[in-house]
Amino acid sequence: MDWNDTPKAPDQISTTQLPIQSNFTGLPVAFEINHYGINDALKGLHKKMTLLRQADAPADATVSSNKIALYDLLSNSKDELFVKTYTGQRDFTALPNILSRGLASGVVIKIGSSTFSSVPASGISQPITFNEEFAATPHAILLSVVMTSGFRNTAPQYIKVAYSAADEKGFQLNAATNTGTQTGITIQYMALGV
Amino acid sequence: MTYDPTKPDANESLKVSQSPIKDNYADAQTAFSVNHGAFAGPSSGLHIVATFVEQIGHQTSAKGERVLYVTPYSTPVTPLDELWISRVNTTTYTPITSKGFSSNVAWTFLPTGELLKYGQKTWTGPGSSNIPLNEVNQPTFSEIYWAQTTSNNSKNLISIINISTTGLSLSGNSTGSLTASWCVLGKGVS
Repeated sequence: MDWNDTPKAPDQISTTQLPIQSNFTGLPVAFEINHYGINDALKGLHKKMTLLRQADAPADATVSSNKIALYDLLSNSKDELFVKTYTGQRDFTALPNILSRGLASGVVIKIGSSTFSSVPASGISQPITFNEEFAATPHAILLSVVMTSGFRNTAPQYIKVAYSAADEKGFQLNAATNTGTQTGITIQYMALGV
Repeated sequence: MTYDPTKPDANESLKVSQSPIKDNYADAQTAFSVNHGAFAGPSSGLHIVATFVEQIGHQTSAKGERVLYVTPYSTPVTPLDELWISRVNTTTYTPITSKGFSSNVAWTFLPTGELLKYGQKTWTGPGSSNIPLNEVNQPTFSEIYWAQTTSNNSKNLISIINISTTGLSLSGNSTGSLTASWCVLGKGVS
């Protein structure tokens, strides 16, 4: 329903009773969306919080030093939940995409895997490029890379894995066996940063 | 004006009470529209943005509730307002937007309450090096669930030789500079 700009001063109550009542009827209908009803013991509390996609992040002035704002923006063609704090530069997606999982704090976990068709004892290397770079500001680059050591298929061989040249764009994934050659080795990795 | 639920008075004529009635309607619409779609619009009742204003102290939650709120997190050197989740157990509060760094350790919380600490460590081998997990001005672990380390050089064999809620020890067998990334996940104490 539309809001009625009523009553007018010269109105008779017999005339304005219906639009006044219509306003009263409309209020709880709107109030109850996402919230418990106006006559419910839990009135005002949320059943859920549906956030509508916004064209832009809230203006800095609306997020003052004692506030934090949650909102929905389109990111990589997906609606994502963002959080903005007074300290600035802390807008981030709090929901995951496939290979880059953002935590609500702004820390990002990048996961993935890479397969070597053959790993010799002399070692082999290939680059890993992140689908999205880590930020390149102090303390904001890639801070940790951890990987599994791979699946060996012939005992007593084992596979040593390591990283090198790690930066905000990616790293070099290195693997070597202790002896002989292993084939079809998949290495899982996880990179942490901001 | 301030919303006045006592209007209109029973003995008022409409020409007297018309103004406070409309003022009440205007105030209701104004308050309703804060953070929400306007009353009569297609987004009525839905949230445009959810702005949380700083509260004093932690907010409790009853059975069947999860409560989001903002209050300062006092553990870091520079306390900031953070967004917290309160669960049924009202002694469990998680500052989900907090994170921090020292020269040794970076940390953050998962929304589930787990604490994640991670970093890179360089030391001179062969031998071990301890990474403190209980530095001041950082949240601590009450229990460790998982830890992993990886060298930045496949010639260096790096392994975890000891782990507790207070520290992680890495060891390498090569001579010279050793660098490894590490990550620890556990139950956090905020």
